[in-house]
Amino acid sequence: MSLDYLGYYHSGSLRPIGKVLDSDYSGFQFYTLRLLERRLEQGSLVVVDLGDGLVIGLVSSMRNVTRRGFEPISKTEMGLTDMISETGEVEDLVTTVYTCRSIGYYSEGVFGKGGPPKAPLIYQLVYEATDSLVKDFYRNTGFDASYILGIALRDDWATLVNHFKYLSRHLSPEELKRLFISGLKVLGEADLSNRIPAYIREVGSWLRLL
Amino acid sequence: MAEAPIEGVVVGGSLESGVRVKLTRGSSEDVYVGGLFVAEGLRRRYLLLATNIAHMDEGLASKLSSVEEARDYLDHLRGSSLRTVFSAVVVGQEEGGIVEGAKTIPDYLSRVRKATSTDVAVFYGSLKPDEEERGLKTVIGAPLGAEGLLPIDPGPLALTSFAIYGKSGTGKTVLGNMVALAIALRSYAARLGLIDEPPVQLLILDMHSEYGYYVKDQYGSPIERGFAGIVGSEAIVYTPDSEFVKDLERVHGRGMVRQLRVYAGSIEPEDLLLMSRMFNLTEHQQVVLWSIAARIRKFVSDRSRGLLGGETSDKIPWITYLYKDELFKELLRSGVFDDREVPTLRSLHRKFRILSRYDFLVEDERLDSIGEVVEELVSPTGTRHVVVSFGKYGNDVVAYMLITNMVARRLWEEAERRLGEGFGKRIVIYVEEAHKFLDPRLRENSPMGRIARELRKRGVVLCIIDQTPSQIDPDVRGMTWNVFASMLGDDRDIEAASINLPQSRLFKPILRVIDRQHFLAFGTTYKFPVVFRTLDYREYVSRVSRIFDKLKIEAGKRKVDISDEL
Repeated sequence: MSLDYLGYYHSGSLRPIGKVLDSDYSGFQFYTLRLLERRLEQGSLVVVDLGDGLVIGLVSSMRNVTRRGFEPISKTEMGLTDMISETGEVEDLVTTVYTCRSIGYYSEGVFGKGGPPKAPLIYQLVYEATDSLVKDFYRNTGFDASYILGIALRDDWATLVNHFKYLSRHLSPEELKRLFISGLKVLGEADLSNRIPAYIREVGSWLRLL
Repeated sequence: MAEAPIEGVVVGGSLESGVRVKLTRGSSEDVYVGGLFVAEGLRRRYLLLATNIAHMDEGLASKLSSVEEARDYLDHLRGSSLRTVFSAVVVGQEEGGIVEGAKTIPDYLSRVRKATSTDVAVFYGSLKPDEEERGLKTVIGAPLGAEGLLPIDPGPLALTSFAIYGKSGTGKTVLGNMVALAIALRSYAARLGLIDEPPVQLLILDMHSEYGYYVKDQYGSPIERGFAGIVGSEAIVYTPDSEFVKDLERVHGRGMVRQLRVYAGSIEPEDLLLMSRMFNLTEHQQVVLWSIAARIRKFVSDRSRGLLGGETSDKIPWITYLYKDELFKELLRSGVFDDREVPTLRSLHRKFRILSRYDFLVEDERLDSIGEVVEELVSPTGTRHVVVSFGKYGNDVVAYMLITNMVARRLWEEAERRLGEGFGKRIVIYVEEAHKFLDPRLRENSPMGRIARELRKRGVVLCIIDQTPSQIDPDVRGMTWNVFASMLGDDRDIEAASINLPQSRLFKPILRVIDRQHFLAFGTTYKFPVVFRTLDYREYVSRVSRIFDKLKIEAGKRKVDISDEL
């Protein structure tokens, strides 16, 4: 029996880490609310609260952006932390934008895989995925790795390896292997067999070390 | 190593070229060419026989070969990425209990699995305990790549000629013995009245003495007694090899073995002309042989009547003048042939001199035993199977051909003489190296060929055993309604062996790779072609002997009951 995740994220017991900046049915971008706190790893999972559902996103890339008026060149010897504490301006004018791929959703108490029926809206709040949500998402969707297709197609093996590393903190080795094998089958069935050698070399060899 | 379960799905193909099945579970190593599979179609189940197997993703496998971890995931790559597809001919279909030849093919994505013992029973018949105990059917082997056992029903088999083909060492003789035992067992049951059909008598021309003496393994070591040793008093063994008699008696007991003697006077020019290639007879010699025989016969006849002032009244067989040195000299001195004919005579003498080495050739007609052999087979009182084991003559093609042709000719003549009379039984003649007797060039001259063509309706059929079926007269091949074919190397032989199969070309790969002791069987006995491995011969003999013993006890009881009633 999984938790009522919608209620959990609405309860305010978790602090949001960002807000949606841009989105479509396949993914979204969000910016962080704080510059240093809760910085995200590539390959980790985040959740967008849609109000009546959740969208689960896989962080694939990030970039730092500045607002107009910010002077990026600073010749003081202060590091970033000191600069933020000295002048609140840095915190205000600099932010990080993460790009995520939507890999699943939660609606009416049920997890689903793939793109969500509704895309996130701008300013909707983004949270880190909790350990129990990660576990429940994979267990309820049969460790289906269909979402790796797009990543494999771009030969973005770094994201995939980091994703598995991230998941290794939430799933058991057997569960990880199950997901990896699902990926093998998905690549074969989608006529992307030519990506399989790299998938095994990059991800499989890392899994072997577990 | 245990075989993994095999599963697949139909992904393409046609009735003409066979269906293609993609493996979804299991390895290519678990799919045998010749193996039986079942496709669960939408409306019926189909029996498939694998004819070829292929890996489809060589490029990916090649790339994966450099990825060390790839082998760890092989099981998961099979089916989706490393695809294996096998081709299979659709040999039969079953719907609502009705089994028939394939008229259509299973639908796309029909699930395919190995045939179970239930499937085997549906398509090839089951062996009911009662049938085995009464000797009507026996288990002959196990279908390749499937569960269950394959029964043989010797009833329909012995109705028409059948053939056992295969290269040397493939197990033709073991199968031949097994089939002979199955026929003999059912025949015994028929004589006991357990089944309403005429009994069958076998005449086995046992070139290498493996029916009359011991069946040997591929290294020549004896495995177990051959046919005659198992059926005991139901068979009589003849041998032209006088030194072999004692060996045979040790197996069969005294009185069950007889020396085969051939009266030289019964050899006709046609018997020798059938072997003209063995004797290396020239065309001229073939033409004049009849006239030479006639003139020698006249010379013998005149001399026996004293017209030539001869010293003896014995009728010396004509042929002995051509193979015995002293008689040949006498013939030359007699002046029957003029000087121009002497070179031909001398050449024939050199060629026929080999016959002088044969101690089974006798000049006294009363010692001839070919008549005995034929009488045992055709007379209403004859019941025993006859095995002619050649002993040391097994490697002598001339001796083997001479005796076989003589027996066949006398049998043919006896059948002609009894035209209009039924034999009241069926006769199956086992002939090894059959192409020597059924060569298309011999056509009507070969008595074995005449028997094959003309005596079937009178209940005489052949069991053709050969390793070069392409050299057998196509007319005769066309009359073999059942074929057991093992590995054949030559394409012409493969073509000839499989000619009676529907979509015969699909079966050719099987006959190229089929293992020893495995046979592709098809015909009226096995309506759906099947590849099977013969049962271990000792195990088979043990099963058959037990039933024979049981039936013999039954027969003994019946005799006692009848005598009590009297």
